[in-house]
Amino acid sequence: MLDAAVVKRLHHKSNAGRWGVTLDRFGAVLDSSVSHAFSGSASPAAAERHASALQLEDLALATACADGNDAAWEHFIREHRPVLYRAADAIDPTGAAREAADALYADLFGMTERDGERRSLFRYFHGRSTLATWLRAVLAQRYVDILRRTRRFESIASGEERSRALSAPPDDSRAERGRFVELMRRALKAAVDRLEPRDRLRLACYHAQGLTLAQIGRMLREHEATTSRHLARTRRAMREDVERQLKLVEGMSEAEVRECLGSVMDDAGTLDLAEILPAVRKNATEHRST
Amino acid sequence: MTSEDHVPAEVLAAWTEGRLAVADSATVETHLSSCASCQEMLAVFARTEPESRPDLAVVSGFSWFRWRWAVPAAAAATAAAIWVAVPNNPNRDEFERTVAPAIEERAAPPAPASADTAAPAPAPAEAERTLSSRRDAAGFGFEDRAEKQPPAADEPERDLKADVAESANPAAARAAEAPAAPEQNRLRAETVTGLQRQAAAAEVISPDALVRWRIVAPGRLERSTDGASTWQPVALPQPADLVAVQAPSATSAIVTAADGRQFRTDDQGKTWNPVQP
Repeated sequence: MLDAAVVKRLHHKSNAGRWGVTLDRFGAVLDSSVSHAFSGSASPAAAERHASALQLEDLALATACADGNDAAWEHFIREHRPVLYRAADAIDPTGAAREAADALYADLFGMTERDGERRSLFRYFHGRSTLATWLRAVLAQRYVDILRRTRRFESIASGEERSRALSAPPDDSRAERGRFVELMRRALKAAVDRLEPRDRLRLACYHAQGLTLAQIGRMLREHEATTSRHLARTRRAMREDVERQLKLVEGMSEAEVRECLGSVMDDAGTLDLAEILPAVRKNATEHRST
Repeated sequence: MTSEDHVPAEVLAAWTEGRLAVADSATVETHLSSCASCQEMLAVFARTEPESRPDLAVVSGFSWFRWRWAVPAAAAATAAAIWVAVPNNPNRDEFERTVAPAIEERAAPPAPASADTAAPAPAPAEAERTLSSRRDAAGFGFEDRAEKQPPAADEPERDLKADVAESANPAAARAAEAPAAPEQNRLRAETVTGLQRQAAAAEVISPDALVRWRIVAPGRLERSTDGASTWQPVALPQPADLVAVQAPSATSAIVTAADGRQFRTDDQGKTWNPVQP
């Protein structure tokens, strides 16, 4: 797929020879990366642009590690394993994430064999990011899987309690408040649905996932002050949207809107933005398609 | 990857580094914005990163540490509330001003209580999220933090005149954030003073990860269109001792000189126009 001259240039630039990765081997890895990024077909120019922008040194190291090169593994252990364990400790200082890190390390080494061939997790690294960032992403993915397996058993019990709470017949004095809460829930869902994806993501990261402004800023490649400003703007827009919906869609008067908002502020009941945010996926797609 | 597919770790990693093509990045962002499962992975990933990332200063063209003063105050405070209209508050302008800076940084997550549990402990911020999420809101404003605290005297973020790269509409952002005319020179001088401390060789990546800019020496600007593999010099309309460059799009850039002058290009550096104060 890639021109031989391009492969040769990138092979040299990647310093792949240091780990004994041959030109043919590296060419195959580059072709695989291009195929993966373009779902199979790419023009020569696009393929070259893509390949040239890859993290070539990391790709060469990963390739050599996957091939079992001892020197490459020594380098990886020295440079990247500490990063992996620091990331695991940052996720969970109790050490629980270290189990995920250890399992990941074993999979990178290729402890599993298939048809007599060692299968290393490095085959999933295509060089679009740095190796360090990729390792952290894979670790995060695996740790979340562990959390979900644990949480699955807890959620059943809490779900039963919640349904018992919701099915309890409200007394007359709370009926109106319950109606207001439901109106707000609908209005909030619609308001979140109408947000731009980036604004919705920022909101979800802050309110549903509990990330700090600094963490969100790093993920979105913006300054944390910018994140703060955008969040404030988003919530102003949502507030206006909610008021508009209550008036135009629900037909409420100004006084009724004030009563509704005041009532919900006093007692939000089961309303929780953290639960509203991720639930809009289907609606959001439909909304953008119209 | 379509917007319906979950984000693979490899793609997430590339997205966080700004190395995806614009269209792919938008697809990832759209999916992340409405998939709780992938958001959860993103959140855990975010927590693997150390708090200080000097390399991000290179990527973004800003020094994080230099701009810490711009972060809203009370960095150790708990999460803010989304504010809704409060009955009997007729002055919308007043509470807009108090509401705007009220997004406060939340406290560092508490250390888990037990170290001998067999099951993995919840993510460190889980307890904090539960507390803040419930209080927040229905995310929506059930206590008006702005009313309980004195409003900020100034909005430090308004001094971030150079912070235009993040705005989807830089012109509108500048118009919205431009301070009153008599203050412009003072604010610009203060901004430039901060910018002067930035490393001259900071590499700035545009929304197109392949297009990058850098200042290699005072007065010398370079641009790359192949992800920093090669660099081409870019001529400026006037001699200028450059201290910062921003890249709001693949074809646009704004450079700032030490004397406060700014120039903008929208055609990849072929022509430049001075940015009017």
